[in-house]
Order: sequence, then C-alpha cells, then structure tokens
Amino acid sequence: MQLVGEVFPIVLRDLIVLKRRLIVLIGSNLMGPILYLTAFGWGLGSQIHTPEGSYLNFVLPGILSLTAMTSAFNGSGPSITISRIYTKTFEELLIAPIKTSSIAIAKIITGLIRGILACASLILVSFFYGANPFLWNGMFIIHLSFCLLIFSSLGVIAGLIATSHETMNRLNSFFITPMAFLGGTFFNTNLLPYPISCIINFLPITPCSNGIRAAALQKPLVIQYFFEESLWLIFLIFLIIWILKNKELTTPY
Amino acid sequence: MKAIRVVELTKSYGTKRDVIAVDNLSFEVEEGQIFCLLGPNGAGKTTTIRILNTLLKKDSGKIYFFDIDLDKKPQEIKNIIGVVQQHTNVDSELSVWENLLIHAMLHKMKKSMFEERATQLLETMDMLDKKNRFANKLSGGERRKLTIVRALLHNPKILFLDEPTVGLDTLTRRAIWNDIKQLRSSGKTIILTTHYIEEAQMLSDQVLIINKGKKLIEDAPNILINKLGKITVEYQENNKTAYKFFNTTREAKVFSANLNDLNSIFIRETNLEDVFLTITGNGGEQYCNSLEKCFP
Repeated sequence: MQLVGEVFPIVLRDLIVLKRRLIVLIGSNLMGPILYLTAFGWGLGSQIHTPEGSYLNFVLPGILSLTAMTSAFNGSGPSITISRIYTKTFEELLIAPIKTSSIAIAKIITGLIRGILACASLILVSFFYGANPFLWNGMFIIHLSFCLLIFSSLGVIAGLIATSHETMNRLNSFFITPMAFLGGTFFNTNLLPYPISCIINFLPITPCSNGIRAAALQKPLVIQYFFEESLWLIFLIFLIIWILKNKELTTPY
Repeated sequence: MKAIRVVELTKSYGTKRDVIAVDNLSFEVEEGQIFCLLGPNGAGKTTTIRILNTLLKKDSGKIYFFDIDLDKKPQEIKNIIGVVQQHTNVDSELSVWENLLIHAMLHKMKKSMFEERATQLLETMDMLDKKNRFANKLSGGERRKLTIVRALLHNPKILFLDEPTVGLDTLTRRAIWNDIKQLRSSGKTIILTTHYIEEAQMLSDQVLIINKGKKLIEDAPNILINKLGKITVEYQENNKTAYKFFNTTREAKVFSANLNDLNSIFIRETNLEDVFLTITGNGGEQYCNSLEKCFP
C-alpha cells in the first residue's frame, strides 16, 4: 500500500503530461511503424512469401516488438535524463520522503503505459494494412508485456546513467537502433551466419520479437523465450537497484 | 535545541576523488535560527546544502537533524525539511496547482489539508489568482515564489534556501526577504546560502563563512563586524582602493587626517561584505587572509 502511495503521484504526473500530448505522441510513435509497414509489409512484402504465409503477417510481430521497444525505452529514459540534468525536477522526487526504488518503479510504469498506447495504436492501424486479427492471445500479451517491461527498465537505466541528452542519443544510436533492425524484427535470426546469430540471439529484443511472433502465428510454446526474457528483466532490475544505491542521481550543482 | 548538527563532513568529486568540495566541515544550527552559509564561488556551499537535503552522498562525516541520524532515517528527515533549490525547478508542464498537488501527494498530505494550505500559501505569496496558470507562463519571480510555496506546503520544520533571490529584481527580492523574516517568526529554522552579502547581513542570526570546503569563521553578523571594526575608512593608495577598520569614528577620523588625498576618503559603517572580503582574501593585497591577522 505504501509503495502504491509513493508510485502513484509520479505516474499521475506523467499521465497528466501524457494526456496533454496524447495525439502528438501517438502520431510520433506510429510514424516509424507505419513507414515500415508500408515499405516492408506492402511494398517489399507483396513480393515475398514466408513459411508463415504473407510477409506482412511475419513482419508485423517484429514491427510490434520494435514499437514496444522504442516507445517503452523512450517513454521512460529521456524524461528521466531531462528532469535530472536540465529541468532538475527529478530533485523534487529525490528529496520527497519516498524510496528511490519507488521512483524507478513509477518510471518503468510510465514507459509501460506509453508502450501499451503505441502498440495498441499500431495493432489498430495494422488492420488497415490487411493484417489478420491474430494477436489477442495470452502468450502474445505475456511476451509483449515482457518486451515493454524490459525496455522500459532499460530506459530507466539509461536515464539514470546518462550525463547529457547527447549521451542518451548515443545510447539510442548504439543499442536501440541496431536492435531495431537486427533483433528478429524483419527476418528470422537463424538465417544469419552462426557467430552473428549467437550475438543477435543474446540481445534482449530477440526473444521478445521471436516470442511475440510465435504467439501471434500460434506456433508451439517456446519456453526458452520466456526464460531469456525473465533473465533479462531480473538482470535489469538488479542493475537498477545497484545504480540507485551506488550512483549520484543528480548533478553536483 | 540543535536543529542540525554536522560533524566532520567531507565530500570529494572526480574519479580519483581528488577534488575536495567539502573538507572536514562541522557546524551546528539552533532551532528557529536563520543560518547563512557564505563563501566565494566554488567554496562548497551548494554541495554542503545538497548533502544536507539528501541529494548528494557524502564521503564521510555525520549529519543529525534534531538528533536523528540522516544515514539511519533519511525518510523521516525528508519529511521535516523543505528545499528551495538554486535553480527554479518547477515542473513547466504542469499548472501551479498541479505542481503543488504532486508535491503534496509525494509528502502524503491529506487532500483537505493540501487544499487549505496551498490556498493559504498562494494567498500569502500573492499568487492565488495564478493557480491554474502553467508554470512555464510565470515570470522568474513568480516561479521562484512557487518553489518557496512548494517547499513550505508540507509544513517543514527546516527550510533550505539555496540562493533564493538570485536573478530577481529588487522589488521581488525585498518581498522574498519579508517572507523569509515571516517564516523565522513562525519558528522555522532556515538555512540560507546567498551571494548577496547584504541579504545575509539583513536576514541571518548566524553566519558561517567557508572557502575551499573549509570553515573559516562562524558567528553572528554584528559580532563579526565588531571584531573587524565598526568603522571603515576607504581611501586611495597607489591607485587602488584601500580599507582600514577602526572601533570608533574618532580613530577613523584621526587616521584619515594623516592621509594625503583627502578627496578620496570615505568613512562609513563596516558591513558584512567587508568581513567576507577580508576573511576570504578576495579584496586584494590590502586584505588580511587569515583569521589570526584579521581578528588577533
């Protein structure tokens, strides 16, 4: 109950801001996925057939995991960096009589909400592209939730350790963008040469997009994906706890 | 009772911890006092304040608020302190009322209590008519006032004011001085840092001057002034302004009579700025730069 009381005001603040920016936010979140759906789903996809049927049905779960990744990461990370380094509103949270872990949980929830919003919008839009309404099953929701939680947590970590907005952009360029293209979003990672596929299978996005795709295409349950997603989530939570304990969360001045 | 007790506080920065911002600093603040931390840029004032209000981690030392150890019960202490930062860190994306509401919720205030207190404080600060305005539409002075209202909302016993009037016009600054005086009358303990020495002299009960993270001197402003000499003679010497301090106007006049350039002599009351410049050695070679030389 105490935890809820500590987390709620922070989430409420983010929801108030989210409500005011809702249309712009959904629009910006959908812009990339719509381009991917048009280019890879309609354009390129009409020429390609996969064992799963049309390429659109294959690529949509990948684009969904990509959207979940970027929207959850960007829903939590940059706002923390800006509030820590530029507006300094993060200090208002640090001097409040709440645990720092409550701040982290609240920011993960914010990333999760933004991710859900972006994914729900994408699912709606995907129907216009002729995608099958295949997605709503339990496994799909569990994999998508893992994906959102993992990348929202990763966003929190990035937000807490970034020393400037540029650092945040670099993290995006070096980690998020490569994962967006390589992590099983647009193609089957097993098609890559052995050492490269090993590295790519190790990325947090890969079990998420493989899991979401398997669930969406109603393939048999693969425990390995759950195992890998759980490991990533546990690792990231421990990393957040370590950062909160050991790192200065604010600037000296 | 001691509102704050700081014992051998040390803080350093850098990967090798070679930049010492606060160096073995100890001081005590009485309950109900306005306690002012003074020092030149980079003296360690803000670092000290930020450690006290739990924003920065210390290297070593102990801090007690009303005999409660900050290391052991940080949440309890966060409930009894209010902080106005050097930078106006109001949430620009929220209205004045929403800024206060989130603060109240973070401090677990009841809704009725929040509404009553927020209305009362906004009225005191002459901002009630702006409660629905977005924070980014407020003027600099109004934003500063909002940070003060926010810091006072949960009725803290101790208030930290880090350069509360920086960048404000004279009128707003004077209004904030009045507010600070009223807060003292209501029994709050106030820790103030400022670059305006006039502000420190006017408001403080006790002044601690630090430089390079070390304590130089601590006393009431009038005692520090009396130690230096109540009367100051300003005069020109080798094309530079020189200062001499005396206990009486008579002594000052006798000294002035022997000076060559009588037109450049100015006899006035000594102020805290003279003490500050003398102590920190920032006044040029005419100034003493050690306590022993200043206050033998």
